[in-house]
Amino acid sequence: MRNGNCEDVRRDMVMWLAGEGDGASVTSHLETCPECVAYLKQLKTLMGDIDSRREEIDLVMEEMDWDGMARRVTRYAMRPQPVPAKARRSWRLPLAAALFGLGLVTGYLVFHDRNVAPAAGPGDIQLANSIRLVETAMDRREIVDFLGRGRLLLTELMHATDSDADRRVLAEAATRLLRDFRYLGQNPANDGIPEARGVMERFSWVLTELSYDPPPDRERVDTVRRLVEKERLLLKVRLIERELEGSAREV
Amino acid sequence: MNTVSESVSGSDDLEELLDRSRSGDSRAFEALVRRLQPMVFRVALGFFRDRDEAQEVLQDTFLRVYRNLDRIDRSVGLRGWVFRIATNICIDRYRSRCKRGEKERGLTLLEKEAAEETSDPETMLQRSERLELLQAAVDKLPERERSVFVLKHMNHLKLKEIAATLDISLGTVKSTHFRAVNHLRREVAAGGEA
Repeated sequence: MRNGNCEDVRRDMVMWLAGEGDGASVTSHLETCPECVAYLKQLKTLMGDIDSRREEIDLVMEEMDWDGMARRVTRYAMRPQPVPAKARRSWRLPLAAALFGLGLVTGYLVFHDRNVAPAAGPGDIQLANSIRLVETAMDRREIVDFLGRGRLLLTELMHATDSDADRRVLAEAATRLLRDFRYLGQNPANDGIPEARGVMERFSWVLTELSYDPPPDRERVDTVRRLVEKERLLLKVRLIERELEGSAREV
Repeated sequence: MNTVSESVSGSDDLEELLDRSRSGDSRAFEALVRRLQPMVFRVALGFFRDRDEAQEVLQDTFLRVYRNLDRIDRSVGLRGWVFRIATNICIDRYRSRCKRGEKERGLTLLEKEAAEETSDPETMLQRSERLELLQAAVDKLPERERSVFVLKHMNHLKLKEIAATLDISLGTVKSTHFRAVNHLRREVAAGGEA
């Protein structure tokens, strides 16, 4: 007959079978409670199935190529994460708020005893537009500069010898470019060249491969070269560079 | 066996690898991944029973680890912290999968391997059916019960360690574990009779 004690004993039973209790209360209770005996039988079957499932997992674990996986996972985790342009300019919002507040105070001091506030004149609008254009041009020049350096790296990559020294130089240049790449974000794509996103991603892959665990071995450099050739990456980088260069010069 | 508790020298090694990883040493981070990936993979297999999904969990876990190397929760240690990230990622993936109404895509790989291991077709079938029943029951467990069950029975964590990993009290872990096992017992017994 099941009694109020059964619930506690069953809790102990689960702990005991899970290896976290001595099951002292269980044995004596089982002598007088057939329901708990049946319960224990079901639990033991369940634990057997759980063990089988764990054995399945052990089997998979044994067959894994852990070294290869660690390399893939590390590269995936350490690949460049472009900082979005918005995040890069996070200081602009507080600055804009401060300037807005300053404008309000100045406006109040100057115009508080006048009935009509003067509307922004054509000169003010022209000034704002000019500032925006200058900022855009600066951004574009930054990218053009980056792409120019990237193009040089790709050219060096295609002509580098198999020596350790050359591969080390490539890795160092790639590391520097990778650092800068993080701050460029997706600007080329935002600047009206949507195809640039894909090109930049491939280019960042090239940088990661060359800078990861320096110096890269010959095989890795060859793989990267093949990708650059197959994707015509050098040409694409040059095209984006030229497009942005032209628009920056117009300003 | 990988558990939250670890030898002092093991902890020291990990701390050193962690410091070097923070300063951008890719080899140190790779060594860290090599040390911790089996336990993460095991958690993921416990949740999904699918090798591809487990690999995705592994990648996402270490991506998050790498991005937050400076924000480690010292109260649970590195292993505990990584366990927590892996468990949360499994839960997130499980939720989004449920939202999409996607059925479990697991079973195939592991079942195939288990089947190859057993030669007797009848035993193979029985084992496969029982494990399928158990998997279906595990899939029905609420998130927290599922997490406790996986960490306890697939990763061999002590209940105390699970409490630290999931940031809940030991009492809650004990009752959650009891409820999880009870749910499974009922489901498996009902399925076996059907």
